[in-house]
Amino acid sequence: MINLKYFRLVSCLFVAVLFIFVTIDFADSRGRGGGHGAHRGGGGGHKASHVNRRGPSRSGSMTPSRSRQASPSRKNVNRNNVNRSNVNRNNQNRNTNRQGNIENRQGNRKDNLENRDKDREDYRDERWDHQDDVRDERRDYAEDVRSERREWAEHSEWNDGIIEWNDGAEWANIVAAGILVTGTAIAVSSFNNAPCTMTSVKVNNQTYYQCDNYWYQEAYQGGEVVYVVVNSPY
Amino acid sequence: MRNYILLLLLLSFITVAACTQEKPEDKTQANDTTAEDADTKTAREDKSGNKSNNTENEKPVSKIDEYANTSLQSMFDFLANTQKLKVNVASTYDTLQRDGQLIEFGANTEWIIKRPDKVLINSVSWEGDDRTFYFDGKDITYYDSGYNVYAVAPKEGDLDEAFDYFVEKLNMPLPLTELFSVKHPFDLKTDVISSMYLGESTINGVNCNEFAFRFPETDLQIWITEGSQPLPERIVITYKDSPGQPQYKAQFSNWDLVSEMPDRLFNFDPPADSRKIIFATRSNNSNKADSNSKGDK
Repeated sequence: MINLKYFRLVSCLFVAVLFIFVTIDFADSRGRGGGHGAHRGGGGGHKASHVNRRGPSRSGSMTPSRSRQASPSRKNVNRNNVNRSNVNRNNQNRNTNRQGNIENRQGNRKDNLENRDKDREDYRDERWDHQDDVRDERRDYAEDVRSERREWAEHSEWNDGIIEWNDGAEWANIVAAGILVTGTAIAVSSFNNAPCTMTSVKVNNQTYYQCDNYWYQEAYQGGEVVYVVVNSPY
Repeated sequence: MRNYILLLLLLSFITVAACTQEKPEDKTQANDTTAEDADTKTAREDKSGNKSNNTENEKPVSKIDEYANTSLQSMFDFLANTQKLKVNVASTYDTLQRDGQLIEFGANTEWIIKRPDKVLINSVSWEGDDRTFYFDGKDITYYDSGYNVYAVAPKEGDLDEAFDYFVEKLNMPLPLTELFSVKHPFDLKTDVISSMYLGESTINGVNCNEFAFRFPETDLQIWITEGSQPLPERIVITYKDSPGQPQYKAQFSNWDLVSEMPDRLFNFDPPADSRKIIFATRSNNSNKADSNSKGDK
């Protein structure tokens, strides 16, 4: 009787162990080969209005800092250099750590070849260092991208960011945000959706548009046709 | 029965042992794969983000090839001394998106130049924007046929002055103006970090010499026609300090240095129903935007 119990218990255990390992292996192999089931996402088909069409390469200039079209990037160049100096410093630290680990490992091998645990630890440290490197570099790169975006948005003189921002914003929010100061540029698509009736008048051969208390003129800005907020022509 | 139990136990033990031995290898492989992926990604970032330790520690090799410098100088001089020319340019440029992807845009452009003070540049982008830059020695006019609008900015002077005013004061993009200006964009004696002659190559059936230059802000690869007329056939400009290292590329074709170019070609005649608009300069006060605009034509 006891033997039968043992037999059932061990059989169940064996089947369970087999099941667990087969399941883990299957899941692992799926994980390694992953990607086929990637979510496609997105509501493709339409043309994205928020695609950035500006940047230093648009200038086609060999000396972009001379060209004001590339001014945001010129500032970025300086900041990038600062970032790079940080990266260098970090890399030096990392290199020092790594070098130290390597020396340690070599010392251990000399002293005691059988002390493999230490080697493994060093190896893991080195790998972690490497992964830290990769993470840091990715973070630096992401920070660069964010900085450039912030730069565009903050460049009040150009209003570049505002054009992009207005594209996706409700007109009421634009007014509420108080950004309709003189000189603000508004993309044509946003201007056409203004929740009021635009009236146009011609003053000194210039066409002005009025909506509520604001006056606008059509203008080229940075190569694009936009509407800019102007003072009253009267 | 005991034998069965022992057999099962043995099998379990063997299976467990086999699995536990296999897993660390798998993990090692997985770790290796991760490390390789990381290396690959890092390499990719090296290319796109210019962030690798090696790249950061590498100093540009300052090696000057005198033949390369002389050839570039000859090309600039030849273009500056060419009194009239017509050429087609197929160009592309990259822009970095929020997610880090580079997206390419492009345009087909026709340049017509009559020195010292006349130029017409018609550019049609891949997205259909059709814009024309006119300069007749007195006014800069920029016409957008899609919106049927034009703006006029008075500017007297030569081509260099018109290009500078349009790009720097009016904040408008006009690629390749440096190439067609009389003044050179940089001093080849001091601004070149390195230059290299890459050999002969053929671009669109034209025999060229290929060169690579490194400047403080950009890298330039250029193909210059062999022979007595050193014209550019293709250029690639890399903005190496900008995130993503975007590029501007231009392919030149149909160089014409002999056809007559009547002056009326450079005068803008506003199409019917076109609207005159203003240039918004960088001042926040839009009244300063093209405040010198002339009345409607």
